[in-house]
Amino acid sequence: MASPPASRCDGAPAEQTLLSDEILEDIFLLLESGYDLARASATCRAFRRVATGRRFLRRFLSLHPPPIVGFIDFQFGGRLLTLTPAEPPHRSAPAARAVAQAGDFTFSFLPGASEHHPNKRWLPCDARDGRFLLSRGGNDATTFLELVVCDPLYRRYVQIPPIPRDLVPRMPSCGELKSEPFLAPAEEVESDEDSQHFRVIYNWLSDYKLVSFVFSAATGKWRCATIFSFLPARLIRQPKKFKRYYACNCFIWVRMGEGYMLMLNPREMKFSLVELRHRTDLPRDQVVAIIDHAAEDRLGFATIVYPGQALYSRCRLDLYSRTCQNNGVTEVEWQRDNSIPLPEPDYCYGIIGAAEGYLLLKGYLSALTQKQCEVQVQHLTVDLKTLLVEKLCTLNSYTSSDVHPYASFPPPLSLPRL
Amino acid sequence: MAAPESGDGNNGAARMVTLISSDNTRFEVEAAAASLSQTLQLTILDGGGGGGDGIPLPNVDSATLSKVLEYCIKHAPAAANGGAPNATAVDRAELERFDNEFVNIDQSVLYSLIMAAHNLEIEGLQSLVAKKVADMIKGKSPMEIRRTLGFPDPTPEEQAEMNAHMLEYGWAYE
Repeated sequence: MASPPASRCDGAPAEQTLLSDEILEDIFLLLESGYDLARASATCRAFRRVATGRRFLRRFLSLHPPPIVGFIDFQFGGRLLTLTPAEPPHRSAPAARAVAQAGDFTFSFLPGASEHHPNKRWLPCDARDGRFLLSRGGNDATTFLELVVCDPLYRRYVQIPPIPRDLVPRMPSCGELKSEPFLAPAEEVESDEDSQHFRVIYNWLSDYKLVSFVFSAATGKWRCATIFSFLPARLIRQPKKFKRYYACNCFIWVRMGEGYMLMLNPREMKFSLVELRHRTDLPRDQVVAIIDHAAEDRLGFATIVYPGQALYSRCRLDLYSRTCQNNGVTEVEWQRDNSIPLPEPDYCYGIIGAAEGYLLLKGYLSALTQKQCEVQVQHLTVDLKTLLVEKLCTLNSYTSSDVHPYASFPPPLSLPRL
Repeated sequence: MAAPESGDGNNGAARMVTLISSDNTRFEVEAAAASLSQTLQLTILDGGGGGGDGIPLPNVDSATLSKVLEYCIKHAPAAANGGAPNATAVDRAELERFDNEFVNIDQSVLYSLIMAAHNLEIEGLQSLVAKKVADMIKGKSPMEIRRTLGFPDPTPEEQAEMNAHMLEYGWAYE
């Protein structure tokens, strides 16, 4: 006869328990979501120990990506820099509240955070995998920004050392230089203890030339990775005004009206310009967001289609994709995979963020129908895998187009990223 | 002694092995079925378990072993086909029906099966029973999970801990 599973929950050592930690891990990995895992982990000590174990959580989170719990508007203007959480009835609303409570998304834990002098204020530059890159200083075009990488949920930060002068090539005096620091995916082998192995790429660019530096947390050092010249052809005219996306394991910069996109393969640190062929390629006359297509190895883009002259009808979200293996030589064609009608009639929609497998949209009544005093801006997420469109929250003010979604379970079902 | 191909008209008769449960019951099964167990596979390949010998399984009682073998016998033909890539949809549906029925059991039997599947390293059975327990946990509160899994009622100390954790995980209940 099997003995009843009585001794399992008294916190007895693993060898005395009926279900070993290994078996429990196998069971928990088959749960559908972090919500089930959270409830299971409150059941008894053994369950909790297994569910919150670092190695296990890493496996669980790679199978069950955490939900989008809100977003951070990087162009916060006069408002407070903080997490705008999902609101009921969004299913992530309770988790969003817990995340907002546990973390500090005003970044007040950063050194000198109370400074209000414009040159000393930390401003967000990028977000990836729960880490944020912030910068300050650098009003003077010849100096680099001071950088910090942090995990607001666990209030941890790492100060990035300055780029050593001897790495910096001479830049021709060609007007103002733009600094564009951003986070690259962590280096390949993400084994047990190296969760802090992020990389920072620092693009320093003029209208003619781009110098790219890379900081690796693994080595703690900067290196000058590459220099890329837009001369003599100047195929892109205003590289400083391009917007950066990440898809198909590459960084891709695009700008409406330009005939080329700039690509960076972050493993090889190689830049290339890819021509956008007229008509068959990325539309040059629309705002697009570059996305990962749900299928592997396809590059996608999303664009909002407005209902043209017909007033009072719906906007649509069109998703296109094409094969990723384009060397710029063979002709590739984009195909339209989906055309999703957006929820509210009479609303104008815009894409404000694209990351972590989601698109963020904002929607508002077009100026004709909306009274200026009662602005209602709806924010939506589009899951690019399931194409599910969900209302995240409604705000009384307009967000910018530089909005970053934040995905996490509340602690202890999340892992510190630093 | 094994007597293969004796030409007694019973050719094609599969090789049999004997397994002995902790309570000394002998089970004679086809080697192909018993070989679903990674643990037994090597012994059987070495020619063990045949004739009067038998392989003792001191950690598995007869009730559990007969259940385990029921699974192995059903799944052996498909496993012989290398995970049955060429199995028909009907065969797969039948296996699925069998699996669903198979884990529709009392939780004390389920626990014994989990342990046995683990000890004997029967991969398919391991995931089948793990999935069953996961399904029993899904969508339930901690107290319901305890009841479903047949845990004893929490002591006051455990109850206090549970309450604290339920507060901490409040986001998972709404």
